[in-house]
Parts: sequence; structure tokens; C-alpha cells
Amino acid sequence: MPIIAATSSLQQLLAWSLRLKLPMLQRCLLAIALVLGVAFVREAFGPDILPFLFFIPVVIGIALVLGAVPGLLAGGVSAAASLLSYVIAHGHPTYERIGSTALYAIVLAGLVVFAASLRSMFEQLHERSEVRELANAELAHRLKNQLAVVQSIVAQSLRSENVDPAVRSTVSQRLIALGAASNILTQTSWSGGDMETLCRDVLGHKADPCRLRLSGQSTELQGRIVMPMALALHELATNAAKYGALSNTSGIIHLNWTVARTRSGDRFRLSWRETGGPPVIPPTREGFGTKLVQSSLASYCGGDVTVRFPPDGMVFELDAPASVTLKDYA
Amino acid sequence: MPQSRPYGDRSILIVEDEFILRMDLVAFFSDEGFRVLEASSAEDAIALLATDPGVRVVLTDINLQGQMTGLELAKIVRHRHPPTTIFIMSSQTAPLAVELAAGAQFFPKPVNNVRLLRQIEPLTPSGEMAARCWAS
Repeated sequence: MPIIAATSSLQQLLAWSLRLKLPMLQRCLLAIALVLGVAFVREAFGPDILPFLFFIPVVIGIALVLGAVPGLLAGGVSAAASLLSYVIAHGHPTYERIGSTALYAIVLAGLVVFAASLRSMFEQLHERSEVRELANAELAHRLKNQLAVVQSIVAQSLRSENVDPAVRSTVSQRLIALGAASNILTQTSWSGGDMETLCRDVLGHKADPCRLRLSGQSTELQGRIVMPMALALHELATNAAKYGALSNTSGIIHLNWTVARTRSGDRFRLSWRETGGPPVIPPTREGFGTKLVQSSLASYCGGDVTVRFPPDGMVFELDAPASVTLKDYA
Repeated sequence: MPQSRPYGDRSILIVEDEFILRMDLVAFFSDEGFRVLEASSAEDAIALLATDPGVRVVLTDINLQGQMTGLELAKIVRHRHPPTTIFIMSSQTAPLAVELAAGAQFFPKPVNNVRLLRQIEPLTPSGEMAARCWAS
């Protein structure tokens, strides 16, 4: 764990230094100041103790965070400081001492070049991810605009052909539910969507908050499940508004979800239960809305949907493998 | 929550440069019995409001024809016609709170017209109920 923490803090330091964009002169001065600081600290332990060791991590750190030139400069200054410390204490240095200092400088230069090339690789990755984020934001913007145009075209076509207002509303509301799903997906670059956010976005304006009781742990749906889930929840709410718990003034919808551990692996279970509505009459016709609720979601989730119509309120249940339904679920 | 008491007549100014989208919004609000004004740029919208200061609601896109954005338009409207209810819509990410004119509300595109209508007319029965529920 400490290794992971150190790696991520080094990454943060690198990212921070890339954003900072200090001019070269300032970077070099900073490098010299750091090395001289270390030289003074080392001096406090006496001139003969570990002539180079203190400098190595600092010089490599400088090369990583500030770049190759400040790194090489820091390496040179550290070699000179080490030699100077010897001269002050013992007078003229031995050849052996000069040789080891030169060797130190060469090896350190190699390490600096290595660290600096790591830095430039990191920089390229960083730039690429920035470009990708920009491209993704632009794509999301265009997609939403396109969806808005589709909605307008459909709404106006149906309006001008004098299609039954009920049909018009059904179609536009479905497109709006699709829009809500796209909105969530674009925020996560199509990787997934938070279950509660999805429920609130799709159902929030259809049911008063006190008549929609949501409960469930924090759950991220997989990207490909968000759209069918949004459409199914929308149909359930539409049905409730026409015939069920939302068709009177006192009915309540209980929407619960949970992840259950079973022998055949973890299951994502969702239940929509209506209470307090008028007596339930099972539907006689199977329209597109019924398919969105009963077959589409089950197919995307690879699970089972059961819909029951006991007299006190309809019940919808989804039972699907968590590995298919939920994001990052091993 | 609702920004203003009912103000002026039941009117709305729609500022949207994409014609197909504007046409749909105009038809929707006309069907709902609004007096609808329309503009494709902030400059046109400001001129319209100057001659017709009683407009109750302004609904504007962010990217518009002309020099000014919908966010700038909203701030001008807030300053010159304080009681106006302002809605801002865009297919880009939601603007920061400081960019929004005081009390203005953001709607992501594609806009849900019915939801928008609910926000404009909070005194409809369901709106009243929602307000009671939040309070309790």
C-alpha cells in the first residue's frame, strides 16, 4: 500500500509540475537551491559521511519533476558540492576522490536522462488524455444537439399530421427518457450511470418526491444498461400515472434495488411496487411499452423480469447477474 | 424553486438560433396558450424586450447567432427586467453558478418541454403538492 501511495503522489506531483509550466531559468535556479540545501544538511553530518548518497534521490526527483536540463545541472552542482566539502575539510583531493566524483557524475547523468525521458512520456500521455476529453465533450455536445433535433422533428411531424395528442405525448416522452439516459452517459463517457441519479432524472418530474420512495445502495450501472433501464422506468411511471399508484392522489411507488449474494454469483435485484392506487386491472393488450418493460430490459441485463398484478398494486421485479448489469463488477 | 411571482401576461420569449428547435418550442408553448415571442440572437431578444417589457418568461439557448451568448443575455435581462423568470438551455455541460444570472435555471438539452412547463407554472396542482412535500 505505501508503494501505491508513493506512486500516485509522484504522479500528482508530475501532473502538477506539467500544469505549472515554470520558465527554464526558474527551474534551474530551483534545482540549484534544492541541491545546495541538501549539501548543507549533509555537511551537518560531517564531511566524510556518504559523499554522494544524499544527492541521488534529490537529483532524480528534480529530473522527473523539472526536466532534463535542471536535472543535469543539479547533478553537476551536487558533484561539485561533494568535492568542495572534501577540499574544505582535507585540502587537496586525492586522485581516487576525483575519480569517484567523476564516476558519480557520469552515472548520475545517465539516471537523469532516464528520469527525464520518463517525464516526457508522462507528458505525452497527459496531453493525449486532455485531447481525448475535449473530443469526448464535443461529441457529447453534438449528440445531444442531434437528439434535440430528432425530438423536434418527431414532435412537429406528429403535430402537423393531427396525430392523437396522447400518441404524440407517448412518443415525445419516450424520446425524452432516451435523452435523460444519454445525458447521464455523456457525463461518464458512456462508461456507466449511477442508479439513483438515473431514477431521479427519469422519474423526478413524473412523481412527487413524497410518492416515490427510492431505496438502494450506491450502484453504478453498466453503460449499455443505462438506456434500457431509463426506458423501462419511464414506461412503468407512465403506466402508474395512467392506471396505477400515480393515477390518484395518494398512491405510492416503492423502488428498491440491492445486490444479493447467491450460489450462482451475485445478482442485481430491482423491485417496483405500487401501493395505495386504485384496484389493479391486469392489462389486456401488449404494446411497445409492455415490451420495453418486460422483454427489453431482461434481454439487455441477461436476467429475468416478472410483472404481477395483485389487486393492491402492480409489482415489477428484475433479477439479473450483477456481472452483466453493474459496472466494474468482477 | 420558482424565481418570481406571476408577472406580466402569460408570455414567453424563446431565444434559439436553431430553427427546427425554435419552431418546436414556439408550437409547444402556443398550444399551451402562451403568447410566444421568438428571437435567434441575444441582440434581437433585447430589442424585443425593450418594446414589450411585460414578458414573463425568457427561455434562451447559450450558443446563439450574433456576438452575445445566452448567458450574457440572461444577465442583461435580469438587470433590466428583474422579475422575469429566466431559463437557460444548452447541449454543453451545465454552466457554473457564477455564470448564471441570479435565479436563472439551467436545462440540459434535449429539453423536456413538459418539465419546463412545470417549472414555469409552479401553481399547477402537482407543483403545489411537490412544494408541500419538500416543506414537510
